[in-house]
Amino acid sequence: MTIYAVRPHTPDGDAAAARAARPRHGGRVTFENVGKAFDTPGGQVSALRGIGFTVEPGEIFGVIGRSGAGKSTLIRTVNGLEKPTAGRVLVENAAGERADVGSLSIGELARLRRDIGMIFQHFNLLSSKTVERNVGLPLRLAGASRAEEAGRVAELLALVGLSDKRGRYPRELSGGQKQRVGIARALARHPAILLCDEATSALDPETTLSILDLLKDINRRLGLTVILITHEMEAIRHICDRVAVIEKGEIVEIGPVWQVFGDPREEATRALLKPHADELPDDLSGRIVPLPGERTVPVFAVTYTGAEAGEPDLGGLFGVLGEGARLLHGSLDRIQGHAQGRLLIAAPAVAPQQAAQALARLNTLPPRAEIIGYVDGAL
Amino acid sequence: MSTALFNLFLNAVWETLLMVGVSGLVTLLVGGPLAVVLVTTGPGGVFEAPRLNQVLGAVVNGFRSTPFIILLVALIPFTRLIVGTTIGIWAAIVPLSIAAIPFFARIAEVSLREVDRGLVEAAQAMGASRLQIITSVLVPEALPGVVAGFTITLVSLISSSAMAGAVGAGGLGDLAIRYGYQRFETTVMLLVIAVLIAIVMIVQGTGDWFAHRLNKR
Repeated sequence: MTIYAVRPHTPDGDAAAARAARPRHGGRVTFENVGKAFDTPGGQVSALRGIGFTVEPGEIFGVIGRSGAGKSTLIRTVNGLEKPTAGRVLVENAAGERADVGSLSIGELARLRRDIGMIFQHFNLLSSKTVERNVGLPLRLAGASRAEEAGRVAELLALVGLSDKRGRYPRELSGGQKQRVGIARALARHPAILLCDEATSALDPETTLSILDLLKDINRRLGLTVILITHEMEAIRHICDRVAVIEKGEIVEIGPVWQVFGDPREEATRALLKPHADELPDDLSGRIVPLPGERTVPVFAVTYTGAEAGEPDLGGLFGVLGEGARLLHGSLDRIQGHAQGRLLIAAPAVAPQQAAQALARLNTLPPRAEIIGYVDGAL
Repeated sequence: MSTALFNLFLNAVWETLLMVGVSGLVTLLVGGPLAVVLVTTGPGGVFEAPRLNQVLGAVVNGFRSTPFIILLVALIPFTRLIVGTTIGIWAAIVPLSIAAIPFFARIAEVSLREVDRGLVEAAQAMGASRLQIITSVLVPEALPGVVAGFTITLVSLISSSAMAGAVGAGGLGDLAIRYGYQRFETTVMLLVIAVLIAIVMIVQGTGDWFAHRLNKR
Protein backbone atom coordinates (compact mmCIF):
# COMPACT_ATOMS: atom_id res chain seq x y z
CA MET A 1 0.00 0.00 0.00
CA THR A 2 1.32 3.42 -0.95
CA ILE A 3 2.01 5.82 1.86
CA TYR A 4 2.01 9.31 0.48
CA ALA A 5 4.64 11.77 1.58
CA VAL A 6 3.30 14.85 3.29
CA ARG A 7 4.52 17.84 1.35
CA PRO A 8 5.01 21.25 2.95
CA HIS A 9 2.48 23.81 1.82
CA THR A 10 3.66 26.31 -0.75
CA PRO A 11 2.28 29.83 -1.17
CA ASP A 12 -0.68 30.23 -3.50
CA GLY A 13 1.19 32.42 -5.93
CA ASP A 14 3.48 29.61 -6.97
CA ALA A 15 0.75 27.29 -8.17
CA ALA A 16 2.81 26.11 -11.11
CA ALA A 17 5.92 25.54 -9.05
CA ALA A 18 3.88 23.73 -6.41
CA ARG A 19 2.39 21.50 -9.09
CA ALA A 20 5.81 20.69 -10.39
CA ALA A 21 7.01 19.79 -6.91
CA ARG A 22 4.12 17.46 -6.21
CA PRO A 23 4.45 13.73 -6.53
CA ARG A 24 2.91 12.91 -9.89
CA HIS A 25 -0.23 11.02 -9.04
CA GLY A 26 -2.59 13.20 -11.01
CA GLY A 27 -4.39 12.22 -14.19
CA ARG A 28 -4.90 14.37 -17.24
CA VAL A 29 -8.31 14.88 -18.83
CA THR A 30 -8.66 16.18 -22.36
CA PHE A 31 -12.00 17.17 -23.84
CA GLU A 32 -11.86 17.13 -27.63
CA ASN A 33 -14.77 18.94 -29.19
CA VAL A 34 -17.19 17.14 -26.88
CA GLY A 35 -20.89 17.39 -27.58
CA LYS A 36 -23.89 15.72 -25.98
CA ALA A 37 -27.44 15.71 -27.27
CA PHE A 38 -30.42 14.19 -25.51
CA ASP A 39 -33.51 12.89 -27.25
CA THR A 40 -36.58 14.24 -25.55
CA PRO A 41 -40.24 14.09 -26.53
CA GLY A 42 -39.90 17.72 -27.59
CA GLY A 43 -37.01 16.94 -29.97
CA GLN A 44 -33.24 16.89 -29.57
CA VAL A 45 -31.80 19.01 -26.83
CA SER A 46 -28.09 19.67 -26.93
CA ALA A 47 -26.59 19.74 -23.46
CA LEU A 48 -22.97 20.26 -24.51
CA ARG A 49 -21.45 21.75 -27.66
CA GLY A 50 -17.85 21.94 -28.83
CA ILE A 51 -16.24 21.53 -25.42
CA GLY A 52 -12.46 21.54 -25.79
CA PHE A 53 -9.92 21.98 -23.01
CA THR A 54 -7.39 20.02 -21.00
CA VAL A 55 -7.16 19.57 -17.25
CA GLU A 56 -3.52 19.13 -16.32
CA PRO A 57 -2.20 16.60 -13.78
CA GLY A 58 -2.36 17.84 -10.20
CA GLU A 59 -4.53 20.79 -11.04
CA ILE A 60 -7.72 21.84 -9.24
CA PHE A 61 -9.96 22.74 -12.12
CA GLY A 62 -13.34 24.35 -11.60
CA VAL A 63 -16.31 24.42 -13.94
CA ILE A 64 -18.88 27.02 -12.99
CA GLY A 65 -22.26 27.64 -14.52
CA ARG A 66 -25.87 28.14 -13.71
CA SER A 67 -28.08 25.12 -13.13
CA GLY A 68 -28.97 23.57 -16.45
CA ALA A 69 -25.83 24.94 -18.11
CA GLY A 70 -24.54 21.41 -18.72
CA LYS A 71 -21.85 21.13 -16.07
CA SER A 72 -23.25 17.94 -14.52
CA THR A 73 -23.34 16.30 -17.93
CA LEU A 74 -19.80 17.49 -18.60
CA ILE A 75 -18.27 16.04 -15.43
CA ARG A 76 -20.07 12.74 -16.02
CA THR A 77 -18.40 12.27 -19.38
CA VAL A 78 -15.07 11.90 -17.55
CA ASN A 79 -16.01 8.61 -15.90
CA GLY A 80 -18.45 7.50 -18.57
CA LEU A 81 -21.66 8.01 -16.59
CA GLU A 82 -22.63 10.04 -19.66
CA LYS A 83 -21.50 9.18 -23.16
CA PRO A 84 -20.71 12.11 -25.44
CA THR A 85 -22.59 12.10 -28.74
CA ALA A 86 -19.75 14.00 -30.41
CA GLY A 87 -16.02 14.33 -29.82
CA ARG A 88 -13.87 12.42 -27.35
CA VAL A 89 -12.93 12.56 -23.70
CA LEU A 90 -9.40 11.29 -23.10
CA VAL A 91 -8.31 10.31 -19.63
CA GLU A 92 -4.65 9.74 -18.92
CA ASN A 93 -3.74 8.08 -15.64
CA ALA A 94 -0.68 8.75 -13.50
CA ALA A 95 1.27 6.13 -15.43
CA GLY A 96 0.59 7.97 -18.68
CA GLU A 97 -1.84 5.39 -20.11
CA ARG A 98 -4.48 7.10 -22.18
CA ALA A 99 -8.07 5.95 -22.61
CA ASP A 100 -10.85 7.26 -24.82
CA VAL A 101 -13.74 7.03 -22.35
CA GLY A 102 -16.46 6.71 -24.96
CA SER A 103 -14.88 3.73 -26.69
CA LEU A 104 -14.27 1.53 -23.64
CA SER A 105 -15.97 -1.82 -23.10
CA ILE A 106 -17.95 -2.34 -19.89
CA GLY A 107 -15.01 -4.10 -18.25
CA GLU A 108 -12.48 -1.46 -19.32
CA LEU A 109 -14.82 1.27 -18.12
CA ALA A 110 -15.09 -0.40 -14.70
CA ARG A 111 -11.28 -0.46 -14.51
CA LEU A 112 -11.03 3.19 -15.53
CA ARG A 113 -13.57 4.15 -12.90
CA ARG A 114 -11.41 2.59 -10.21
CA ASP A 115 -8.87 5.25 -11.11
CA ILE A 116 -11.40 8.10 -10.83
CA GLY A 117 -13.06 9.00 -7.54
CA MET A 118 -16.31 10.94 -7.41
CA ILE A 119 -18.15 12.83 -4.71
CA PHE A 120 -21.71 14.08 -4.92
CA GLN A 121 -23.93 16.91 -3.78
CA HIS A 122 -26.13 14.58 -1.74
CA PHE A 123 -23.21 12.38 -0.65
CA ASN A 124 -24.85 9.16 -1.91
CA LEU A 125 -23.82 7.03 1.05
CA LEU A 126 -25.45 3.67 1.74
CA SER A 127 -27.82 4.29 4.64
CA SER A 128 -27.69 0.61 5.60
CA LYS A 129 -23.93 0.55 6.10
CA THR A 130 -21.65 2.06 8.72
CA VAL A 131 -19.11 4.75 7.89
CA GLU A 132 -16.42 2.08 7.79
CA ARG A 133 -18.37 -0.16 5.42
CA ASN A 134 -19.25 2.79 3.18
CA VAL A 135 -15.63 3.84 2.85
CA GLY A 136 -14.58 0.24 2.21
CA LEU A 137 -17.21 -0.38 -0.48
CA PRO A 138 -14.97 0.44 -3.48
CA LEU A 139 -12.34 -1.92 -2.05
CA ARG A 140 -14.84 -4.75 -1.57
CA LEU A 141 -16.13 -4.20 -5.11
CA ALA A 142 -12.58 -4.64 -6.34
CA GLY A 143 -12.20 -7.84 -4.33
CA ALA A 144 -9.93 -6.58 -1.54
CA SER A 145 -9.43 -8.86 1.45
CA ARG A 146 -10.88 -7.97 4.83
CA ALA A 147 -7.47 -7.08 6.23
CA GLU A 148 -6.61 -4.88 3.25
CA GLU A 149 -9.96 -3.16 3.57
CA ALA A 150 -9.61 -2.53 7.30
CA GLY A 151 -6.12 -1.09 6.94
CA ARG A 152 -6.96 1.23 4.09
CA VAL A 153 -10.23 2.37 5.69
CA ALA A 154 -8.43 3.30 8.91
CA GLU A 155 -5.94 5.34 6.87
CA LEU A 156 -8.69 7.11 4.95
CA LEU A 157 -10.77 7.91 8.02
CA ALA A 158 -7.70 9.42 9.65
CA LEU A 159 -7.09 11.48 6.51
CA VAL A 160 -10.59 13.01 6.63
CA GLY A 161 -10.63 13.28 10.42
CA LEU A 162 -13.42 10.81 11.12
CA SER A 163 -11.60 7.96 12.86
CA ASP A 164 -13.97 8.18 15.82
CA LYS A 165 -17.07 7.78 13.65
CA ARG A 166 -16.18 4.52 11.96
CA GLY A 167 -19.00 2.50 13.51
CA ARG A 168 -21.69 5.14 12.97
CA TYR A 169 -24.41 5.12 10.35
CA PRO A 170 -24.75 8.00 7.87
CA ARG A 171 -27.97 9.23 9.48
CA GLU A 172 -26.02 9.94 12.66
CA LEU A 173 -23.64 12.32 10.85
CA SER A 174 -23.87 15.99 9.91
CA GLY A 175 -23.76 17.05 6.27
CA GLY A 176 -20.11 17.97 6.46
CA GLN A 177 -19.21 14.63 8.04
CA LYS A 178 -21.18 12.78 5.37
CA GLN A 179 -19.21 14.57 2.67
CA ARG A 180 -15.98 13.62 4.45
CA VAL A 181 -17.10 10.01 4.30
CA GLY A 182 -17.85 10.55 0.60
CA ILE A 183 -14.35 11.92 0.08
CA ALA A 184 -12.73 9.04 1.98
CA ARG A 185 -14.72 6.58 -0.13
CA ALA A 186 -13.74 8.35 -3.35
CA LEU A 187 -10.05 8.13 -2.39
CA ALA A 188 -10.17 4.47 -1.38
CA ARG A 189 -8.43 3.14 -4.45
CA HIS A 190 -5.79 5.84 -4.85
CA PRO A 191 -7.48 7.55 -7.79
CA ALA A 192 -5.56 9.83 -10.12
CA ILE A 193 -8.58 12.07 -10.58
CA LEU A 194 -11.26 13.24 -8.17
CA LEU A 195 -14.56 14.49 -9.60
CA CYS A 196 -16.63 16.76 -7.35
CA ASP A 197 -20.24 17.18 -8.42
CA GLU A 198 -21.60 20.21 -6.54
CA ALA A 199 -19.85 18.71 -3.52
CA THR A 200 -20.49 21.67 -1.24
CA SER A 201 -23.82 22.90 -2.54
CA ALA A 202 -25.86 21.18 0.18
CA LEU A 203 -23.64 22.48 2.97
CA ASP A 204 -23.67 25.65 5.05
CA PRO A 205 -20.96 28.25 4.33
CA GLU A 206 -18.69 27.26 7.21
CA THR A 207 -18.84 23.55 6.42
CA THR A 208 -18.32 24.38 2.76
CA LEU A 209 -15.02 26.05 3.61
CA SER A 210 -13.84 23.13 5.71
CA ILE A 211 -14.65 20.66 2.91
CA LEU A 212 -12.94 22.88 0.34
CA ASP A 213 -9.87 23.10 2.56
CA LEU A 214 -9.87 19.33 2.87
CA LEU A 215 -10.04 18.96 -0.91
CA LYS A 216 -7.17 21.39 -1.36
CA ASP A 217 -5.15 19.60 1.29
CA ILE A 218 -5.76 16.25 -0.39
CA ASN A 219 -4.83 17.69 -3.77
CA ARG A 220 -1.57 18.95 -2.31
CA ARG A 221 -0.68 15.86 -0.36
CA LEU A 222 -1.69 13.24 -2.89
CA GLY A 223 -1.14 15.30 -6.03
CA LEU A 224 -4.32 14.04 -7.63
CA THR A 225 -6.19 16.05 -10.20
CA VAL A 226 -9.45 17.57 -8.95
CA ILE A 227 -12.28 18.58 -11.24
CA LEU A 228 -15.00 20.44 -9.46
CA ILE A 229 -18.30 21.67 -10.81
CA THR A 230 -20.39 24.16 -8.92
CA HIS A 231 -22.61 27.17 -9.22
CA GLU A 232 -20.93 28.77 -6.23
CA MET A 233 -18.25 31.26 -7.12
CA GLU A 234 -16.86 31.06 -3.59
CA ALA A 235 -15.94 27.41 -4.00
CA ILE A 236 -14.00 28.12 -7.17
CA ARG A 237 -12.31 31.16 -5.75
CA HIS A 238 -11.29 29.31 -2.63
CA ILE A 239 -9.42 26.39 -4.14
CA CYS A 240 -9.30 26.28 -7.92
CA ASP A 241 -6.24 26.91 -10.06
CA ARG A 242 -8.18 27.38 -13.27
CA VAL A 243 -11.83 27.80 -14.07
CA ALA A 244 -14.07 27.33 -17.08
CA VAL A 245 -17.37 29.15 -17.28
CA ILE A 246 -20.07 27.11 -18.96
CA GLU A 247 -23.23 28.62 -20.36
CA LYS A 248 -25.92 26.86 -22.39
CA GLY A 249 -23.63 23.89 -22.98
CA GLU A 250 -20.63 25.87 -24.17
CA ILE A 251 -17.44 27.02 -22.51
CA VAL A 252 -17.58 30.81 -22.74
CA GLU A 253 -14.50 31.66 -20.75
CA ILE A 254 -11.54 29.73 -19.40
CA GLY A 255 -8.35 30.66 -17.60
CA PRO A 256 -6.67 31.09 -14.23
CA VAL A 257 -9.26 31.93 -11.58
CA TRP A 258 -7.76 35.33 -10.80
CA GLN A 259 -7.98 36.29 -14.45
CA VAL A 260 -11.49 35.07 -15.19
CA PHE A 261 -12.96 36.42 -11.98
CA GLY A 262 -10.87 39.57 -11.81
CA ASP A 263 -11.65 40.64 -15.31
CA PRO A 264 -14.70 38.76 -16.56
CA ARG A 265 -15.14 39.24 -20.31
CA GLU A 266 -18.41 37.41 -20.80
CA GLU A 267 -21.90 38.32 -19.72
CA ALA A 268 -22.39 34.82 -18.25
CA THR A 269 -19.36 35.20 -16.01
CA ARG A 270 -20.51 38.61 -14.83
CA ALA A 271 -23.93 37.25 -14.06
CA LEU A 272 -22.39 34.52 -11.90
CA LEU A 273 -20.21 37.05 -10.13
CA LYS A 274 -22.98 39.58 -9.70
CA PRO A 275 -23.96 38.78 -6.12
CA HIS A 276 -20.37 39.53 -5.21
CA ALA A 277 -19.88 42.47 -7.54
CA ASP A 278 -19.06 45.85 -6.19
CA GLU A 279 -22.45 47.14 -5.29
CA LEU A 280 -22.59 50.39 -3.48
CA PRO A 281 -24.02 50.65 0.00
CA ASP A 282 -27.41 52.41 -0.16
CA ASP A 283 -26.37 55.54 1.68
CA LEU A 284 -23.48 56.03 -0.73
CA SER A 285 -25.35 55.37 -3.93
CA GLY A 286 -27.92 57.95 -2.81
CA ARG A 287 -25.18 60.56 -2.51
CA ILE A 288 -23.43 59.96 -5.77
CA VAL A 289 -24.78 62.08 -8.63
CA PRO A 290 -23.92 61.45 -12.27
CA LEU A 291 -22.91 65.00 -13.21
CA PRO A 292 -20.62 67.55 -11.57
CA GLY A 293 -22.26 70.52 -9.93
CA GLU A 294 -21.34 73.36 -7.57
CA ARG A 295 -18.97 72.15 -4.87
CA THR A 296 -18.93 68.54 -6.09
CA VAL A 297 -15.96 66.25 -5.88
CA PRO A 298 -15.23 63.50 -8.44
CA VAL A 299 -15.43 59.89 -7.28
CA PHE A 300 -12.84 57.60 -8.82
CA ALA A 301 -13.48 53.90 -9.03
CA VAL A 302 -10.12 52.16 -9.10
CA THR A 303 -10.37 48.54 -10.13
CA TYR A 304 -7.67 45.96 -9.58
CA THR A 305 -8.21 43.01 -11.88
CA GLY A 306 -5.24 41.03 -10.64
CA ALA A 307 -3.38 41.46 -13.90
CA GLU A 308 -1.19 44.22 -12.43
CA ALA A 309 2.24 43.27 -11.25
CA GLY A 310 2.85 43.49 -7.53
CA GLU A 311 0.66 44.77 -4.75
CA PRO A 312 -1.62 47.81 -5.21
CA ASP A 313 0.46 50.97 -5.09
CA LEU A 314 -1.46 53.31 -2.80
CA GLY A 315 1.30 55.89 -2.80
CA GLY A 316 1.12 56.23 -6.58
CA LEU A 317 -2.64 56.36 -6.37
CA PHE A 318 -2.73 59.19 -3.90
CA GLY A 319 0.08 60.95 -5.71
CA VAL A 320 -2.32 61.40 -8.61
CA LEU A 321 -5.45 62.05 -6.59
CA GLY A 322 -3.79 64.66 -4.43
CA GLU A 323 -4.38 65.88 -0.96
CA GLY A 324 -7.54 65.14 0.96
CA ALA A 325 -8.41 62.04 -1.04
CA ARG A 326 -10.87 59.97 0.93
CA LEU A 327 -11.72 56.30 0.69
CA LEU A 328 -15.51 56.02 0.41
CA HIS A 329 -15.79 52.33 -0.05
CA GLY A 330 -13.67 49.46 -1.15
CA SER A 331 -12.89 45.81 -1.06
CA LEU A 332 -9.81 43.89 -2.02
CA ASP A 333 -9.35 40.17 -2.19
CA ARG A 334 -6.38 38.01 -2.82
CA ILE A 335 -7.02 35.24 -5.28
CA GLN A 336 -4.06 32.99 -5.98
CA GLY A 337 -1.80 35.81 -4.86
CA HIS A 338 -3.38 38.42 -7.11
CA ALA A 339 -5.05 41.46 -5.61
CA GLN A 340 -8.55 41.98 -6.88
CA GLY A 341 -11.23 44.44 -6.05
CA ARG A 342 -12.32 48.01 -6.29
CA LEU A 343 -11.73 51.18 -4.32
CA LEU A 344 -13.99 54.22 -4.46
CA ILE A 345 -12.07 57.34 -3.71
CA ALA A 346 -13.36 60.93 -3.53
CA ALA A 347 -10.66 63.37 -4.61
CA PRO A 348 -11.40 66.99 -3.68
CA ALA A 349 -7.98 68.07 -4.96
CA VAL A 350 -8.89 67.10 -8.52
CA ALA A 351 -10.68 70.01 -10.19
CA PRO A 352 -13.34 69.15 -12.76
CA GLN A 353 -11.21 70.25 -15.69
CA GLN A 354 -8.28 68.08 -14.46
CA ALA A 355 -10.37 64.99 -14.01
CA ALA A 356 -9.69 63.52 -17.43
CA GLN A 357 -5.99 64.07 -17.02
CA ALA A 358 -5.98 62.43 -13.58
CA LEU A 359 -7.84 59.50 -15.03
CA ALA A 360 -5.27 59.08 -17.77
CA ARG A 361 -2.45 59.12 -15.23
CA LEU A 362 -4.20 56.61 -13.02
CA ASN A 363 -4.61 54.27 -15.95
CA THR A 364 -0.84 54.19 -16.45
CA LEU A 365 -0.24 52.99 -12.88
CA PRO A 366 -1.99 50.64 -13.73
CA PRO A 367 -5.11 49.81 -11.94
CA ARG A 368 -8.12 50.54 -14.14
CA ALA A 369 -9.86 53.75 -13.19
CA GLU A 370 -13.02 55.57 -14.08
CA ILE A 371 -15.08 58.38 -12.67
CA ILE A 372 -18.38 56.96 -11.54
CA GLY A 373 -19.95 60.19 -10.36
CA TYR A 374 -19.66 63.07 -7.99
CA VAL A 375 -20.40 63.70 -4.36
CA ASP A 376 -21.01 66.84 -2.44
CA GLY A 377 -17.68 68.42 -1.59
CA ALA A 378 -18.67 69.01 2.01
CA LEU A 379 -18.97 65.25 2.48
CA MET B 1 -63.20 -30.86 23.26
CA SER B 2 -62.47 -34.54 22.83
CA THR B 3 -58.96 -35.88 22.48
CA ALA B 4 -59.68 -36.86 18.90
CA LEU B 5 -60.81 -33.34 18.08
CA PHE B 6 -57.80 -31.92 19.87
CA ASN B 7 -55.46 -34.07 17.80
CA LEU B 8 -57.27 -32.93 14.69
CA PHE B 9 -56.77 -29.40 15.85
CA LEU B 10 -53.05 -29.83 16.44
CA ASN B 11 -52.74 -31.44 13.05
CA ALA B 12 -54.55 -28.47 11.45
CA VAL B 13 -52.15 -26.00 13.10
CA TRP B 14 -49.21 -28.01 11.77
CA GLU B 15 -50.72 -28.14 8.28
CA THR B 16 -51.29 -24.39 8.23
CA LEU B 17 -47.76 -23.69 9.40
CA LEU B 18 -46.34 -26.10 6.84
CA MET B 19 -48.35 -24.63 3.96
CA VAL B 20 -47.53 -21.05 4.90
CA GLY B 21 -43.92 -21.87 5.65
CA VAL B 22 -43.17 -23.73 2.44
CA SER B 23 -45.10 -21.39 0.15
CA GLY B 24 -43.57 -18.43 1.98
CA LEU B 25 -40.10 -19.77 1.31
CA VAL B 26 -40.87 -20.44 -2.35
CA THR B 27 -42.34 -16.93 -2.61
CA LEU B 28 -39.21 -15.40 -1.14
CA LEU B 29 -36.89 -17.37 -3.41
CA VAL B 30 -38.85 -16.68 -6.59
CA GLY B 31 -40.63 -13.41 -5.84
CA GLY B 32 -37.50 -11.65 -4.55
CA PRO B 33 -35.46 -12.21 -7.71
CA LEU B 34 -38.55 -11.44 -9.79
CA ALA B 35 -38.81 -8.06 -8.05
CA VAL B 36 -35.15 -7.39 -8.81
CA VAL B 37 -35.74 -8.29 -12.47
CA LEU B 38 -38.83 -6.07 -12.60
CA VAL B 39 -36.87 -3.11 -11.25
CA THR B 40 -33.61 -3.58 -13.13
CA THR B 41 -35.22 -4.20 -16.52
CA GLY B 42 -37.53 -1.21 -16.02
CA PRO B 43 -36.91 2.31 -17.34
CA GLY B 44 -33.55 3.57 -16.12
CA GLY B 45 -32.66 0.20 -14.58
CA VAL B 46 -29.19 -1.29 -14.83
CA PHE B 47 -30.42 -4.10 -17.10
CA GLU B 48 -32.94 -1.96 -18.96
CA ALA B 49 -35.06 -4.16 -21.27
CA PRO B 50 -38.44 -2.56 -21.97
CA ARG B 51 -39.94 -5.59 -23.81
CA LEU B 52 -39.11 -8.12 -21.12
CA ASN B 53 -40.26 -5.69 -18.47
CA GLN B 54 -43.63 -5.21 -20.15
CA VAL B 55 -44.20 -8.94 -20.59
CA LEU B 56 -43.24 -9.71 -16.99
CA GLY B 57 -45.39 -6.85 -15.75
CA ALA B 58 -48.38 -8.17 -17.67
CA VAL B 59 -47.92 -11.72 -16.34
CA VAL B 60 -47.62 -10.46 -12.79
CA ASN B 61 -50.74 -8.32 -13.17
CA GLY B 62 -52.64 -11.29 -14.64
CA PHE B 63 -51.93 -13.47 -11.61
CA ARG B 64 -52.53 -10.62 -9.22
CA SER B 65 -56.02 -9.96 -10.58
CA THR B 66 -57.22 -13.58 -10.42
CA PRO B 67 -59.06 -14.41 -7.17
CA PHE B 68 -57.24 -17.08 -5.20
CA ILE B 69 -60.12 -19.56 -5.06
CA ILE B 70 -60.27 -19.49 -8.88
CA LEU B 71 -56.50 -19.81 -9.18
CA LEU B 72 -56.69 -22.82 -6.89
CA VAL B 73 -58.95 -24.61 -9.32
CA ALA B 74 -57.52 -23.24 -12.55
CA LEU B 75 -54.03 -24.35 -11.63
CA ILE B 76 -55.01 -27.98 -10.99
CA PRO B 77 -53.34 -29.32 -14.18
CA PHE B 78 -50.17 -27.39 -13.39
CA THR B 79 -50.23 -28.58 -9.80
CA ARG B 80 -50.47 -32.18 -10.96
CA LEU B 81 -47.48 -31.59 -13.21
CA ILE B 82 -45.38 -30.22 -10.35
CA VAL B 83 -46.28 -32.31 -7.31
CA GLY B 84 -48.02 -35.27 -8.98
CA THR B 85 -51.26 -34.86 -7.04
CA THR B 86 -54.14 -32.42 -6.90
CA ILE B 87 -55.20 -32.97 -3.32
CA GLY B 88 -53.56 -32.36 0.03
CA ILE B 89 -51.08 -29.91 1.44
CA TRP B 90 -48.56 -30.09 -1.38
CA ALA B 91 -51.30 -29.53 -3.92
CA ALA B 92 -52.25 -26.34 -2.04
CA ILE B 93 -48.69 -25.09 -1.76
CA VAL B 94 -48.40 -24.73 -5.55
CA PRO B 95 -51.31 -22.29 -6.03
CA LEU B 96 -50.52 -20.56 -2.73
CA SER B 97 -46.98 -19.85 -3.94
CA ILE B 98 -48.11 -18.83 -7.38
CA ALA B 99 -50.58 -16.35 -5.93
CA ALA B 100 -48.09 -14.98 -3.41
CA ILE B 101 -45.08 -14.62 -5.74
CA PRO B 102 -46.48 -11.76 -7.85
CA PHE B 103 -47.98 -10.15 -4.75
CA PHE B 104 -44.63 -10.13 -2.96
CA ALA B 105 -42.74 -9.19 -6.12
CA ARG B 106 -44.82 -6.03 -6.50
CA ILE B 107 -44.34 -5.02 -2.87
CA ALA B 108 -40.60 -5.70 -2.97
CA GLU B 109 -40.42 -3.86 -6.30
CA VAL B 110 -41.69 -0.68 -4.63
CA SER B 111 -38.95 -0.85 -1.97
CA LEU B 112 -36.26 -1.52 -4.57
CA ARG B 113 -37.49 1.32 -6.72
CA GLU B 114 -37.27 3.70 -3.78
CA VAL B 115 -33.51 3.23 -3.52
CA ASP B 116 -31.99 6.58 -4.45
CA ARG B 117 -30.73 6.73 -8.07
CA GLY B 118 -27.73 8.59 -6.70
CA LEU B 119 -26.57 5.48 -4.83
CA VAL B 120 -26.65 3.46 -8.04
CA GLU B 121 -24.74 6.21 -9.79
CA ALA B 122 -22.17 6.31 -6.98
CA ALA B 123 -21.65 2.56 -7.29
CA GLN B 124 -21.30 2.87 -11.07
CA ALA B 125 -18.73 5.60 -10.55
CA MET B 126 -16.80 3.18 -8.31
CA GLY B 127 -16.63 0.69 -11.14
CA ALA B 128 -19.23 -1.70 -9.74
CA SER B 129 -20.57 -4.28 -12.17
CA ARG B 130 -24.30 -4.44 -12.67
CA LEU B 131 -24.59 -7.53 -10.52
CA GLN B 132 -22.54 -5.84 -7.81
CA ILE B 133 -24.91 -2.88 -7.95
CA ILE B 134 -27.78 -5.25 -7.22
CA THR B 135 -26.04 -7.16 -4.43
CA SER B 136 -24.16 -4.28 -2.77
CA VAL B 137 -26.55 -1.39 -3.25
CA LEU B 138 -30.11 -2.20 -4.31
CA VAL B 139 -30.79 -5.20 -2.08
CA PRO B 140 -29.13 -4.01 1.16
CA GLU B 141 -30.71 -0.56 0.86
CA ALA B 142 -34.18 -1.94 0.11
CA LEU B 143 -33.98 -4.71 2.71
CA PRO B 144 -36.02 -3.09 5.53
CA GLY B 145 -38.88 -2.42 3.11
CA VAL B 146 -38.58 -5.88 1.59
CA VAL B 147 -38.77 -7.51 5.03
CA ALA B 148 -41.87 -5.47 5.87
CA GLY B 149 -43.36 -6.51 2.52
CA PHE B 150 -42.57 -10.16 3.15
CA THR B 151 -44.35 -9.95 6.50
CA ILE B 152 -47.48 -8.68 4.76
CA THR B 153 -47.13 -11.50 2.24
CA LEU B 154 -46.92 -14.13 5.01
CA VAL B 155 -50.02 -12.76 6.72
CA SER B 156 -51.96 -12.84 3.46
CA LEU B 157 -50.70 -16.41 2.89
CA ILE B 158 -52.13 -17.41 6.27
CA SER B 159 -55.52 -16.10 5.22
CA SER B 160 -55.34 -17.66 1.72
CA SER B 161 -54.39 -21.02 3.22
CA ALA B 162 -57.83 -21.16 4.83
CA MET B 163 -59.20 -21.79 1.36
CA ALA B 164 -56.88 -24.71 0.80
CA GLY B 165 -59.59 -27.00 2.22
CA ALA B 166 -61.14 -26.76 -1.22
CA VAL B 167 -58.43 -29.13 -2.45
CA GLY B 168 -58.49 -31.19 0.71
CA ALA B 169 -55.35 -29.71 2.13
CA GLY B 170 -56.70 -29.26 5.62
CA GLY B 171 -55.31 -26.59 7.87
CA LEU B 172 -57.00 -24.33 10.35
CA GLY B 173 -59.40 -22.71 7.92
CA ASP B 174 -60.66 -26.07 6.72
CA LEU B 175 -61.13 -27.23 10.32
CA ALA B 176 -63.10 -24.12 11.17
CA ILE B 177 -65.44 -24.61 8.24
CA ARG B 178 -66.01 -28.34 8.61
CA TYR B 179 -66.28 -28.52 12.39
CA GLY B 180 -66.94 -24.99 13.56
CA TYR B 181 -69.43 -24.01 10.86
CA GLN B 182 -70.93 -27.21 9.43
CA ARG B 183 -71.10 -29.13 12.76
CA PHE B 184 -71.87 -26.11 14.95
CA GLU B 185 -68.80 -26.66 17.16
CA THR B 186 -68.51 -23.08 18.30
CA THR B 187 -65.55 -23.87 20.57
CA VAL B 188 -63.53 -25.13 17.60
CA MET B 189 -64.43 -22.03 15.62
CA LEU B 190 -63.35 -19.71 18.43
CA LEU B 191 -60.18 -21.64 19.09
CA VAL B 192 -59.22 -21.56 15.42
CA ILE B 193 -59.78 -17.80 15.34
CA ALA B 194 -57.72 -17.33 18.50
CA VAL B 195 -54.82 -19.40 17.14
CA LEU B 196 -54.93 -17.60 13.79
CA ILE B 197 -54.82 -14.25 15.56
CA ALA B 198 -51.86 -15.45 17.63
CA ILE B 199 -49.96 -16.68 14.55
CA VAL B 200 -50.59 -13.45 12.67
CA MET B 201 -49.46 -11.40 15.66
CA ILE B 202 -46.27 -13.40 16.05
CA VAL B 203 -45.46 -13.17 12.33
CA GLN B 204 -46.24 -9.46 12.17
CA GLY B 205 -44.35 -8.71 15.38
CA THR B 206 -41.26 -10.62 14.27
CA GLY B 207 -41.34 -9.01 10.84
CA ASP B 208 -41.69 -5.52 12.28
CA TRP B 209 -38.82 -6.14 14.67
CA PHE B 210 -36.53 -7.27 11.88
CA ALA B 211 -37.55 -4.41 9.58
CA HIS B 212 -36.91 -1.93 12.36
CA ARG B 213 -33.56 -3.47 13.26
CA LEU B 214 -32.45 -3.30 9.62
CA ASN B 215 -33.64 0.23 9.02
CA LYS B 216 -30.70 2.59 9.49
CA ARG B 217 -32.18 5.42 7.48
